[in-house]
Amino acid sequence: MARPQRLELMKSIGQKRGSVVISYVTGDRENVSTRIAPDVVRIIFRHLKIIGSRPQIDLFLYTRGGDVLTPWRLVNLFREFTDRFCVLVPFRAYSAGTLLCLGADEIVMGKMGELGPIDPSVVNAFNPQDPANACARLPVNIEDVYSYMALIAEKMGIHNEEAMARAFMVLSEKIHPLALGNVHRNWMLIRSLANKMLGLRSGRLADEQEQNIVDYLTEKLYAHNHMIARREAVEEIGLPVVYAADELDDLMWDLHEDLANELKLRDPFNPSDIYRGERTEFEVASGIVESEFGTDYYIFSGAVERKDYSDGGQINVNINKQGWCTAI
Amino acid sequence: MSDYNTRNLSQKSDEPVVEKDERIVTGRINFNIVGRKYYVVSESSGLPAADFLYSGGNARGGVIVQRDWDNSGDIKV
Repeated sequence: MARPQRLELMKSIGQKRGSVVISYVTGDRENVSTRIAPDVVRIIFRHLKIIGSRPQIDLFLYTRGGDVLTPWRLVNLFREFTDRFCVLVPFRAYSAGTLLCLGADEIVMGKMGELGPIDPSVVNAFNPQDPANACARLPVNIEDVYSYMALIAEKMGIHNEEAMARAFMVLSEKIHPLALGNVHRNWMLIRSLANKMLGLRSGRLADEQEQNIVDYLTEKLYAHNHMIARREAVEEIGLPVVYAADELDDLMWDLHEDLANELKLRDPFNPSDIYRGERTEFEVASGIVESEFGTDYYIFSGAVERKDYSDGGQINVNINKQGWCTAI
Repeated sequence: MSDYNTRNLSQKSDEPVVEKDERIVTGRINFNIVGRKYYVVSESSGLPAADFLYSGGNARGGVIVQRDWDNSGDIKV
């Protein structure tokens, strides 16, 4: 389908919900993926300015995550234009996407809807060097660092200060102390952000429920790729999730499938497939923000070149430009 | 379908269609982001000293780090 068909689906969802719908997809197409990042704030603002103040705005979201600070800015922006902000989750809304959901008055999940833990990995200048790339730093998962200390204390039964100090020394020999400081700062940041996001809801949850949500999503799921279905979200975590009725669920899934086809999310981006002649320039879209008033794509522009050597060929892909582009 | 969806810019509409190169690539596919921004942080302060476009070589007196936190693009190079 194309934009006219997607607009019909968005309008049908909006009529059922009494809202106006904005779609936001960060693509996870192999080799050209995108993520939640601050540069999308200006793009969503463009749509909201045209939409204007509305009683309810629904964000139709598909993402595997991204920058953890952007959801805070985005939800505050949505709330400048509406008193009731809701998120529709047809499929994946992981990590920073889940964090974004915490700021919504209502999270509407379909049968295939999935949330995820918010236990980010952090990278700064003092992280360990990637042995495969001198310029790159290896990410350190925040909860891994705390789990290491918990392993020493709880599982090995070592509780005296000297032994714990030795264990910490071993850790700091492998990971720069300033990287560890960054880990702790982000440990506090993610909890603070989760609490602040829940505080943006118009109907506050009980303090105990809020604490349970934050604890669950940050440390109690034990795997960053844990997929939270709607039953677990409601019954075990206590999130303000609403089950999409079958008809709404069908509309949400159809819209998701259309956007996934538009961005070819299931087909890896293979430069060999577009290569023609010595040098082939290309543009590929891998993210979309769409409402009934317009469409923006995140575009990678570049060139594919082939080099032939006696032991085989290789393909070089140079991304010359990337960014959000307004199509309509 | 969008015009942006994997558009081949080298192929003009009024030119004869160039056949796809069917030779099998046995080597690797290299992704490179031209014009990617980097910055140098000094070991003493931990603060970014300057943004710059990095095209190879080493920067003295600091660690080179990719500056991509404000960008939606998520290509692994």
